[in-house]
Amino acid sequence: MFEAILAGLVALATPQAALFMVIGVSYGLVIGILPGLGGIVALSLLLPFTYGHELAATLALLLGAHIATIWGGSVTSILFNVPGAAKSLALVFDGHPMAQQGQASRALGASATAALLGGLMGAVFLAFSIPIVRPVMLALGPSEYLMMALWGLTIIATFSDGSLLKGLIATTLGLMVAYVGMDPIAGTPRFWFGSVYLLDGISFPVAMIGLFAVAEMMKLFVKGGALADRVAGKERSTVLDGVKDAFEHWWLIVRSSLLGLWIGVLPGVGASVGGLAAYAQAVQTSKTPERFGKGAVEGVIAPDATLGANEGGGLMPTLAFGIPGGESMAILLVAFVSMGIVPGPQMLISGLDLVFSMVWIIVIANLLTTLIGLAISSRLARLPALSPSVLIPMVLSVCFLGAFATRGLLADVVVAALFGGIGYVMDKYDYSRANFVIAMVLAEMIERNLHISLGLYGNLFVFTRPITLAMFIFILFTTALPFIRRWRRRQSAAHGNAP
Amino acid sequence: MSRRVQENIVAGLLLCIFAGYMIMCLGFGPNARLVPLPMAIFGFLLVVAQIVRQNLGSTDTEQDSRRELMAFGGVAIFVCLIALLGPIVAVFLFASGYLFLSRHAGIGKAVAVASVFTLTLYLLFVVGLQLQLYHGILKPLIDP
Repeated sequence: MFEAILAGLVALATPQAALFMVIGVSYGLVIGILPGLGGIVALSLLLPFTYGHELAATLALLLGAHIATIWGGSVTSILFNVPGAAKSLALVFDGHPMAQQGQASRALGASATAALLGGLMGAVFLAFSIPIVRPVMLALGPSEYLMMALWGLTIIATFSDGSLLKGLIATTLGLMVAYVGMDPIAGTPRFWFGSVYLLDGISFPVAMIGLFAVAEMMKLFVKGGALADRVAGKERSTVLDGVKDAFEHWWLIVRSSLLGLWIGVLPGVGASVGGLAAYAQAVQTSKTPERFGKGAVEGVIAPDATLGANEGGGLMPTLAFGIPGGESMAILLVAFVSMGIVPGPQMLISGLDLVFSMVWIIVIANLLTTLIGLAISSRLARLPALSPSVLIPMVLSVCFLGAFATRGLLADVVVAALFGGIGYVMDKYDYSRANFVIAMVLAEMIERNLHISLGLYGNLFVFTRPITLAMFIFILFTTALPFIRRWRRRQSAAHGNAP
Repeated sequence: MSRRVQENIVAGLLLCIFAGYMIMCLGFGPNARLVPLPMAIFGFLLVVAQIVRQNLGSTDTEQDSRRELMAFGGVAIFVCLIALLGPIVAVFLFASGYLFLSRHAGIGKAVAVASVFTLTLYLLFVVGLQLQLYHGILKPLIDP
């Protein structure tokens, strides 16, 4: 174990890894600060660059960018009153009032320190959870993995934002799209319309570029106008004030980080819920809740600590079980697979060095994000004033060149554009793109484990394997729960309205 | 076009997609259709339920879709340019055209900005990533 921890760090001690980490963090900060883009777009655009480099360096690029976008989103929320991403929404409530009162530097300092400490807790959690999770994973068979993948799918569909029915439709559609190409068991070509291109299936990186990055540019064009306008008072604070605030509220950071870890581990409960939940617990546990919403520094610290810790929590099920906790983790999973990293039990046995490289990357990327971010935040803060007229052609160009670069096929550009249209329509009509992507990622795991389970344990394997049966009952319960709750709410409302 | 009509069009398309999947699944062997067929049936039923649900509500709003059509058109034009001229030339034309037509810059500034941007992408993808470029359908006409 100790050797793996050391080897994980040594793998990052190369010029390429160091350079990629700095590039990833700087790029993540820029994309994170641009409202509406965020971590998913940042990761999608990086997917074409994940081939042919050192493994640890590529991971540093991806994870570094992902971690930096989180804090980048907080900067936009604080300075512009526009959440950089949905997960940064809670930062608007107190962060922006602080900026209006001339305490923007203090808010940014508190936000960065809280995110750093939360991120460090996330990394420590990930490192300590590995020896605990490893024996559990080795005891599970294909039927239990099937149940876990099904649970991941159903929980994401039922607990995601918006309409439950639309969430389930998006999930089913994602599964069906993933089944285009060769059947993994019998090798039967499916849904290929006689096209050799479709025999290989839809390229995940290309689909992600379209679904998120191209769709976001289309949204930006339709919305029109500037990305964000800044309204701020005369600056009367320093970054150091915020750093001190964060350390003074250390217990709030610990509580919020634990919440972030828990939310990260649970599939489907996105970081956007985490930020709001952290804010709510900060208000509830405060002795002076009336200050919240008017520029209370705790309202900045709590969500940022949760968002920072969320990543370590989210990586645990992604690496250990191959079940992504959210859409960003799904894209990371796609990148891992394209780099030859196969998450699952084998990963924690033969690929332990790599897992610890990721732990180290989380630590280093959080430190770098804080250092670089605080040093250049005042300059970065001008980015949202960038005109969409400049941003749209540039991002679209990177999207299509990136799609082309994945395999050098023109058809990939067409697929990216098609998925851009699909992503736009899904977003407009509330069919969750997160569900769609996660279903795409889990589709093969479901099909493969179902076939293996049927072959190994027979047709009634669900009932003959006790752990599988228990997991199956748990899935039925968690899927039915939201429907039961809704029915009960309607019943109580009907009784309440009755004369 | 009203929001409800738009939602119905989307749901109708989804219904056709799931129905198509169901029909195609019937042509596969039992192993190959084991998961896709039940999923397609499940998806079909979900969309039917969604159509019923969205047509029971009473509120509806008119929506202007002109900018959306322009967005779809813009993406389609860009893809056509890539197919015809290859990605690098297409990026230059699209970026300069977009900057000029959106009135963000005059023709000279648009061309200058697009040139710098295209060169950056060229260095990144072609020199850095050693991407084998595609030169477009029109290449044989220019360079037989």
